Amino acid sequence: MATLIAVGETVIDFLIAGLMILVGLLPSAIAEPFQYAFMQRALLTSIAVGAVCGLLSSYVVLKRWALLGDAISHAVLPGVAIAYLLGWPFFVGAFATGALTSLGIGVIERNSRIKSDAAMGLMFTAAFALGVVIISQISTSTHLMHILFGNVLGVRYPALMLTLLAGLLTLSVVLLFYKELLIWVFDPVQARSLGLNTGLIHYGLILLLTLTIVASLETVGIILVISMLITPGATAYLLVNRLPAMMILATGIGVISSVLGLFLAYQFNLASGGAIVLVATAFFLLAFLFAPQRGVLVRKFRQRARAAI
Amino acid sequence: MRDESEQGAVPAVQVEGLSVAYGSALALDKVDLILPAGQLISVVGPNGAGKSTLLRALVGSLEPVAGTVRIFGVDAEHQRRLGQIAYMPQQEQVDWDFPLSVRDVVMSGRFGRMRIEGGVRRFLPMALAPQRHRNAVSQALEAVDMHQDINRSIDTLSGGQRKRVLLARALAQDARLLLLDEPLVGVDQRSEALIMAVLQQARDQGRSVVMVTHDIDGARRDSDFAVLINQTVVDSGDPRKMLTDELLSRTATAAWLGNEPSARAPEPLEWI
Repeated sequence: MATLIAVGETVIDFLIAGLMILVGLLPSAIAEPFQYAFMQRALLTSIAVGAVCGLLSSYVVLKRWALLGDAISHAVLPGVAIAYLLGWPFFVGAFATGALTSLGIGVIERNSRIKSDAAMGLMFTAAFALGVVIISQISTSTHLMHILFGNVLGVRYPALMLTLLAGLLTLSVVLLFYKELLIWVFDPVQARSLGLNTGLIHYGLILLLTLTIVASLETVGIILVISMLITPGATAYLLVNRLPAMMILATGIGVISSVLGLFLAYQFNLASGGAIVLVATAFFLLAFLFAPQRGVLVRKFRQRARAAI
Repeated sequence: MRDESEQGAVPAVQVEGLSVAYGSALALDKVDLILPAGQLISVVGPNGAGKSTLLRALVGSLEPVAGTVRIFGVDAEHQRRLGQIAYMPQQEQVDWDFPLSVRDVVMSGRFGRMRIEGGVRRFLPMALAPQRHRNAVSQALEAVDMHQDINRSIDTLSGGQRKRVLLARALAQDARLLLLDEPLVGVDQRSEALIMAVLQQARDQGRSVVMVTHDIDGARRDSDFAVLINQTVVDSGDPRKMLTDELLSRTATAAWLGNEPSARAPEPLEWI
């Protein structure tokens, strides 16, 4: 175990060294903050979080899982609190309660007449309330603030390693099972007709989503992580017409938003999570207004041009 | 090739005591049904009779409360994994704003074959699929006269074109059993004629084609076998004998005149 961690830290140091070579190519005014070790770690974390969230956001948008993602991210709170009390690594508890809540949503949905949106709203607020109650028993509140809103500038090696592993796992699953996921998201009934285990795919993707949310906790926090799981995908959805292009673009938008947000947060002393999400939202607004085919202003302009002819 | 008589002996679909429920309401109640192989079969019944439910139970997306399904004499799940069951949904069932091209959708019909034949290559993206899969996609699109639209985004297609793309996806799968949910609803006459011709051709190639339809006259004229269904199978057999006014009206009232107590209240039933 100890050697594994040492290997992980070496890998991270190498990745950071590689990143710093790239940063060194930038103008010194931009590169200046990245001379600090904490900014270097924050940069690597931001890139990883932006990439994983962006990649998964395509599925979240197309599968209409925005509310489910929100539910899981809130449900993570009691797990973090319990893990904190017991002195466990926070992601163990977070993963457990996140996964439990998404299972609970399915149980309520299947065994009563309650529809899925009500089941989600009910479960995640209950879990969140439990988290708030537990945390109110813990004396220091800075911890709560970091869980809720993230603090990428304080990221340490274990969290960074978790983020990178989550990213690696998500990327491998999406690459290896791209076809299965595509068929299932587009037409689950066809997926069944081909003998695919749709239950396994469904819960597998939920687990991946939970893992990603947990891995993004320290960067953007519980409340804002869902934005990173929706906004890049929604933005890319407005810009392109093919799934692979959408996924690549969403990943890119996720990475750029995170890095730019991190930089702005440092320069103007802003909350990092908020800054990252606002940058992503700015990209979405740009696409909403100016996307070549679907932009609102572009369509208006075309209509006017057509009327003039 | 198999002996003709042997192929005729094993039914395409063999359903025993199949019950499917949505929550507490039974959609299908102890259905017993045998569909002969190599025929064009119409499934007819009023709205809410459980026609689509029957197809979805055969496809495996609805878990039955009770009963067994055998396809070509073997457990249905086994045939699914072999890619022998192709399915065409009603077009409202899929999201046409999905960022896919016509080719992507039809190629997804080849996925079963890729998985079985592929080895490690099954993990390749569809764009790098072996030539024979791309040929199958081209042929299926030519069969439904959509080949010129292969690179179009699906959100730009008309209703009839969407039907034909979904049909091409089912054809590309090269399955022995085709299950089609209302393939003729909402299409113009030209598309309807084309779809029927394609289905008859598939039948002539030895495939078993099962379609849900509301077009009684068309079913009487074109199909080899008809199933009247309303929660349970009312009758099945020669379409010219099945699709009479007397049997159709019996089907329309079967759900609440039947001897089984029904969980559903009698609704106004319409033939559309």
